[in-house]
Amino acid sequence: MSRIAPLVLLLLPFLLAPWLSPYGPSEQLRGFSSQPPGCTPGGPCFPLGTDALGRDVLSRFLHGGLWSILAALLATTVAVVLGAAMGLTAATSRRAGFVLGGVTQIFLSLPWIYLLLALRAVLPLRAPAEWCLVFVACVIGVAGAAAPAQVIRPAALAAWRADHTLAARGFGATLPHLLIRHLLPAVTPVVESQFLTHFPRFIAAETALTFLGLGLPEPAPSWGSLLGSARESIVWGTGWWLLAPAVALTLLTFAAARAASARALCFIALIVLPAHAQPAQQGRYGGRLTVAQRSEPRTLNPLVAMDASTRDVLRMLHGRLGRIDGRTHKAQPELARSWKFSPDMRSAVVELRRDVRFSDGEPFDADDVLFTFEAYLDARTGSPQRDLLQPGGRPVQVTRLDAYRVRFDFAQPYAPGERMFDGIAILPSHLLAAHLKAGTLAQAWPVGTPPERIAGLGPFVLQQVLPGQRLLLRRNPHYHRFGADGRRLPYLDEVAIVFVSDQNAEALRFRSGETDLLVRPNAGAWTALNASPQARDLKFTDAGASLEYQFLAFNMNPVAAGAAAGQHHRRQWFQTDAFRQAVSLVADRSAIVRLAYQGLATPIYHHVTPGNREWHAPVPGAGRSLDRARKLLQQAGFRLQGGQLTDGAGRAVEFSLVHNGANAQHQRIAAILQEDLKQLGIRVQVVPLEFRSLIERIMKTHDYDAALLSLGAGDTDPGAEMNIWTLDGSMHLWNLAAESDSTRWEAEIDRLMRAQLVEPRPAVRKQLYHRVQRLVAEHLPLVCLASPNLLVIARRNLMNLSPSILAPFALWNVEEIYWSAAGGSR
Amino acid sequence: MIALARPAALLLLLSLFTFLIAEWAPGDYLSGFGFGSAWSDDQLREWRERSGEDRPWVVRYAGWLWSAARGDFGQSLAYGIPVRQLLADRLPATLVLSGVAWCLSWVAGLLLGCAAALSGLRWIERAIGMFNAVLLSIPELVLGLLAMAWAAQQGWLSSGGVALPAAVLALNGTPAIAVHTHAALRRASADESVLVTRILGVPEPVVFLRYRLPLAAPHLLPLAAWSAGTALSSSLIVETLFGWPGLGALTLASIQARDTAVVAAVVLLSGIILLGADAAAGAVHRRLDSRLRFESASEAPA
Repeated sequence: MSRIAPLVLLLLPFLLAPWLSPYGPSEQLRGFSSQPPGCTPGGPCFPLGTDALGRDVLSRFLHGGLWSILAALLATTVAVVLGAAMGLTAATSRRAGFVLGGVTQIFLSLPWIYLLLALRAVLPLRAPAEWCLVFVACVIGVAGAAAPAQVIRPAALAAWRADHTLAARGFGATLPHLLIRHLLPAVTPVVESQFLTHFPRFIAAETALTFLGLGLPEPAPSWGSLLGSARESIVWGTGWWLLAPAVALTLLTFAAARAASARALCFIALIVLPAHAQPAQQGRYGGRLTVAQRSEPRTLNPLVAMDASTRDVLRMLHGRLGRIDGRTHKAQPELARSWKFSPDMRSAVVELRRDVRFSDGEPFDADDVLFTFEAYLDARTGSPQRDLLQPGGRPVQVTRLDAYRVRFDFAQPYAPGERMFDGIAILPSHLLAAHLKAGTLAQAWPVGTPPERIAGLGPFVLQQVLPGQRLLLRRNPHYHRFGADGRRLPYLDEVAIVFVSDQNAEALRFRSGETDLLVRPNAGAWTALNASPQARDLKFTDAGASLEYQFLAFNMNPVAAGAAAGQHHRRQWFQTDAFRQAVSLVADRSAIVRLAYQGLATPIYHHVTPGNREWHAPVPGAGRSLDRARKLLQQAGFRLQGGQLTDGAGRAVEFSLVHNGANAQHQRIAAILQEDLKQLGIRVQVVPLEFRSLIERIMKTHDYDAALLSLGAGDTDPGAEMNIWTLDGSMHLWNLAAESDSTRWEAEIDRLMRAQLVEPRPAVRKQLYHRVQRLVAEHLPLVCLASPNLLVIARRNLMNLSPSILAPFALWNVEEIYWSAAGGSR
Repeated sequence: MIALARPAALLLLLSLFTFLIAEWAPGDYLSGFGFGSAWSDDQLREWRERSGEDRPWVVRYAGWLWSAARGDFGQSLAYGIPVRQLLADRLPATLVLSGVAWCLSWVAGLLLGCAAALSGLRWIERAIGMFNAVLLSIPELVLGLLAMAWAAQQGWLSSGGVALPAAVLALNGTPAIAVHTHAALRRASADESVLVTRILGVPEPVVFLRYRLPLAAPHLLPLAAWSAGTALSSSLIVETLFGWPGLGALTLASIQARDTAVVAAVVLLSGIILLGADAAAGAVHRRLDSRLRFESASEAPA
């Protein structure tokens, strides 16, 4: 009894959480977000402060404690008992040792994160958060049993060979007797220390899951996820009170090992409190711009570049016939001197610049253009841009008129016209023609290619690649453009690109002066840097609403044969216009902007954000209204009884909401929506998923209710949105089988989108697209919520920087960027 | 022959599991790109066909096995270059990081463990216990971020090199070693031989060096093998966080991107390292414990 008493005493506050905690664990006091511990003037008190959504940290901490402790106890028990069993068995029998040793080695070699990724997919979507925690604990426990087994086995082996065991065996003792009386006592210290080290480790392991997008669903307040969501605050030193779980865990661990000590707090303070030293003096060095990128380029071949990071790097190495100006959002000639489209937009003649040379000195002419388009259109290359060059399903015809004039013919009028040129990097035929002939273009120019074997028409050339670490570009001496001062561009000598895979790490590198540019920081980084003494040396650009739109999509796919019974009526609700309209009416967009983005976002009601100045259509009468939402639901046959919405057949309305667990903003938006919909009597179960698992559900298995997603149009032109809005579009994600089974308004959107794509008159095109936007705002296939603002922070002496909402946001005019006389970076 | 057959069978099973898990995990390499880009269904299908990703996993596994048997580990889907080359580029960085971290954590862990067991002062034991509890309670992700935030303020973030990530990895591993060393030494001091030598009046330092430490060592060897053998999988998050150009960051990215050929190769490598570390620990154990030497001489080796 006396052994259990301290444990019970420690667990008591958490067992009594519902009575001890001042607020509910998921109660959002939206006016009091990110409060430090203490009392607000004339307002409520928060002993441990609040988080970004205004939830009381103490309440969440108390509520989460019980589940975290129990789950970790479970995981530790599973791991240690299993490990001890394996270790002991392996010691007593050579054959068992042979097999079990192999099992442990296999488990130890497989990263447990990998195992969890696969097993998580087995868990049903609507499983409550607590069961997710137990499941994760069991997986971690089983996978973690290998380590104790490995350590316990030799101790058991030594005991097995000890004289007293040998004697007992000689007297004919049974195996259970030997195990319990002779082996177990010998391995107890090892088992104990294994238990002590694994218990806190397992609670902490959950934190890594939030990093990977495998975290626990909102609003579950488990300690691991509390710590995981405090990441941003750690970086900026703005929310040290969010580390309360780590402090408690330390005390608990220590108390479990020995009596608790007051010295505990001193240690924590030493580790947790950030040292407030002066930031380092910025070193200076002429002409190099250092930028961070979220991942390294996967290839140096623009033909097969699939991800944004790769494309952003290659944009600096290659030229295009024309490019979209980040300021005006219009296409302007680059390698072309000029172009002329026929009035029906079915053909164009492009006149090329003369005296342009590739970076290796070879001249550029019409043959390179012909070669490039042939390469992009070649089926063996498999370029992602191939579809772009086949408007109407027929490849664009490229004809050489003379050495500096090329003619393009389209099978149907192609309204976006010259915008197409922006995505096509002109390639050197003198280096790659042999690859095209052999059909091996897809394999050309992988990451290890020596720089001298690559040539381009961009402002920079490749200097050096350090895999996984850094990429160094130096100026292209043959670059064809000249600056306003008549000197040859680019101004910068070098561009260094360092790879940082985590957003917080990226922000830290910027703050420490290692990088010169922070593109699209999260709101936390922006606010913290703005308040820091460093702000004087920095230039903050808020370019307003970006092209990215965050939205809630309801699953309106037809129910598959053999689906669970619950699927049918849920899809029926989702297919009801009034239901989606009611959801849109209660979604507190201003709270999303304020709490998830700290005000650095713009509320939106359809997919074309106000940032898209040319195409955005305002929606009149949009706003939040609980009454109108209730009325709409009532008219559609729903009933609100005792705080619970029921449909016409009396079934309680509740659904699950999946989102990308690695996205901190989405996690917050999901929690906000969960609270908002509670006001309509709708219970929402939030389910964070790892990104590819999420996409698989939405695009392939259609096994979800609602999803919180974001899309960012690659271009301002509606042509870039075709695959989302046409009925047969691959991204018509709320109803992927829409061709056979579409509503009237879906068919109308489809018709308008197809019409605008072939409409040569810009004014008519605009009208058509405005009608699409109004239909989307009314029928809400996607309930659009907010568009994060495009933010860029740069060193103050970096000139000519002109952040744009179009990718690549800051470096689209990299050749014009220069360091002012005050000097360069380092 | 048997001595070689067992590791080979283990590695074979390991690669099989890797492919099974990949099959089990939702999505494939392309499913991440299909979302939000202008890829049409036809393009996706075409790409899967060309890359061979549309074949059943058994066929893909057999293909990978066949190329692995010839010392080639297939092509990475993301990079389009041989996996072998990718690994060769990154292995040195990981070896440096894990090597430094391993040495640091063992030096610190052994010192703390010995200090806790030897000092005889209650407050030292408590302080070390507290230190362990603090480190065990702070997830490596949080610890890494704290270290980075601190280094950024000092202006050391860019010049730190291997020191910072290695320190975080080492701090992560130290408590377990310290706790185990402490426990093993306590256990050893209760051994008959130690009691007898103490009664005979042998000075305590000699007792410690000649009797307690050798008695405790066999209990620490498996931990040493385990911590060295799991170097690859334990550095995933720290490498990613610090942007260290090693295998850990590559593995995590490949797991997330479903680039199975890379994951399988890394897991295989990790298995080889683990088996090697185990064998080394076994050899050291045999040297330390003469009973085992006689045993293995009389019985057939396993």
